[in-house]
Amino acid sequence: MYESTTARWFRRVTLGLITLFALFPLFIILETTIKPLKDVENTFQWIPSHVTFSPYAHIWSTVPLLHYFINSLIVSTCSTVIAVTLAVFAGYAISRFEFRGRRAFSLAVLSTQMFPGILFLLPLYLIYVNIGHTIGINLYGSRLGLIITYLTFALPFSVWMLAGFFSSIPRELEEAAMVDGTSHWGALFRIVLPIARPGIIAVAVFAFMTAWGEVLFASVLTTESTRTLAIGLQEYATQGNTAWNQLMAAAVVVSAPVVIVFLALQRHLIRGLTSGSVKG
Amino acid sequence: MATVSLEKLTKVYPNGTTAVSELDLDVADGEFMVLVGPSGCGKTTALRMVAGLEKITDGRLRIEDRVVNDLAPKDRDIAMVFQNYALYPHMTVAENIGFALGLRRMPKQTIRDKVQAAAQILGLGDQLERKPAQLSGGQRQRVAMGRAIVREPAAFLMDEPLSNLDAKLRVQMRAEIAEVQRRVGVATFYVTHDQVEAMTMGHRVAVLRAGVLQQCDRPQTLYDAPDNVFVAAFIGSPSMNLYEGVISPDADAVRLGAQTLRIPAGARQARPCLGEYRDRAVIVGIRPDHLSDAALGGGAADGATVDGVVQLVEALGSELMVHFHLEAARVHSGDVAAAGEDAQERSDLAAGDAGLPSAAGIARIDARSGIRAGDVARFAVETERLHFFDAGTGLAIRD
Repeated sequence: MYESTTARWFRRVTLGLITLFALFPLFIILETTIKPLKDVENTFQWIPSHVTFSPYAHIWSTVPLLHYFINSLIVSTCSTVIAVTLAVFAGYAISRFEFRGRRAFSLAVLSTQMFPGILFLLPLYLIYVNIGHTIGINLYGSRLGLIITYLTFALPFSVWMLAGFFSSIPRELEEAAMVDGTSHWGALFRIVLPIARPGIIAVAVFAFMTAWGEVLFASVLTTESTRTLAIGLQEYATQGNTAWNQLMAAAVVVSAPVVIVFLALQRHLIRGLTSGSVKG
Repeated sequence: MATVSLEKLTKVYPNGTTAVSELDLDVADGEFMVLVGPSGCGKTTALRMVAGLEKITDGRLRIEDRVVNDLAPKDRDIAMVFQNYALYPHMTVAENIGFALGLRRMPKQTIRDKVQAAAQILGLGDQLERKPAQLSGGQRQRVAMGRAIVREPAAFLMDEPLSNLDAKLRVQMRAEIAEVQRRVGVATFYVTHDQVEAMTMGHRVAVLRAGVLQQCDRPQTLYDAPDNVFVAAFIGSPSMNLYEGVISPDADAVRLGAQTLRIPAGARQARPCLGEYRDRAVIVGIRPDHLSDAALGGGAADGATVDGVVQLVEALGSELMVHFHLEAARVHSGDVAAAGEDAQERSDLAAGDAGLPSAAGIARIDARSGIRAGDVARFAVETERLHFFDAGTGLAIRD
């Protein structure tokens, strides 16, 4: 495509500015983590008076970060694993089988995505408290309660997405596998799931990240001992003072696993693995 | 001994449509059986019932003398080649071909040898480590074949395996598949809508229409002696010219509009019951190949020519396809329409001209002919090879 010199420079400068705008907060976060606290509290300066990594050491003692980290890990991992496992089967059923109520089910799944989450906050809280009173299963303030809460968003989303992925896989592949000697289950595990892997990973990453960064429900439904990272970060700011450099360092530490996992799986997220199986 | 045997096989879908109705077919050991018919005639459904991918509503299916109606596909000892190949995209060519063997827990070395041997037969030797996405259409087709032959099953099932290839490759793969089938000698059940494939590949061809078997015989027999108008119109390319005619009082000639064709004694003797059709309407069939330019032949016999108005001449180099109109009633029959767009279009074309009853036809004639569009041409007819069908039932008038 032809592009005049003016247009090219305009494009470069504009995109460059937008990129800077997007990256600047990230830079501030990283830069703050290596400044002593008094540098941060004074007027902004580009160069730290001296470089220190002590915020990274102190974050663990200021707040029980490791404890929160473990809470987050358990809650996010459990909700992701349960959501994806159930969604694989539910999505497969929606995409492949005709059954009574199939349409109603898929619409119900979709409709859960239409409401803002905050709408469910109070009902969930009341349900949890009541279940605790009547049956004695303690959901309020427990990790299990939070896992179930996250499942309510992750599961419908995963079912819906995976049903779409499965529908894009030609049925003939399973039929070929069954003629080749697998059972229907065998065809699902040996053929469909490996092909749907990019989709499954994408859905899992999404479910995990949603749970990992969730603030609203975690702030209401957890107590001191079950608090997750996203809530724990607030504790660096107390009434008297805010340890900005530690807060930023903790933010980096909290984000790191997600970023690492995301980068590691990026390769698998690429679509198009199905091309070549059938015509075209 | 029949390897695959269909006894009154019937498929009725839950919504009440009958896709296949009481289909009787035997595929002998090593035989190449082609199931052919226009789209929607139930041929793929029939094949899928044999594969076990579609539930059999009624009837019995035997594979190697075992009733397999209720067996899962994996227990039927069949291999299938799908229309879109259905290669496993996440596996290499070698893994694709060896997949079924792996499921049978064969030793790795045996699998490797068998895959190698199959790849050799199909000329895939240096593609084994590639993924399906990196292969051309023809190569994918071969991998699909390889997946079938490596199994050494009781029967191959092939569902329009060539329909996704371009014309040139299709001709080549047609020969290759027939050759591979001959070498491995496995009973093959091949579904296609393309009558050329059916004619060139099949030892026997079964013609299906609306779920009902019309005729099952050797290709040449289908061509020479179709049982009914549908088979006549469906088999052969270009398809047979069909006109309404009236048998003369002496049953020795047939009138097509104002023209008369004599029925030679030989043809009459072969069809004693033609006598019963005196003064009655019949359907007359003339193959395009059995027409020639009367001007070239050095004078055709009297009563063995028809005159037609030439609409279009297609020069193919070796021969001419002459499209003409004949002053005769066209055949109003669902049979012809069902046989294919080709035949249907020609009738429609002819029907478009208001006024005189006229029917379109095609002649395949010598390239030296001087016939041009707009001429009134005289065609010599090989009257020995005329076909006659009952105008009511569409059945061939034979004996």
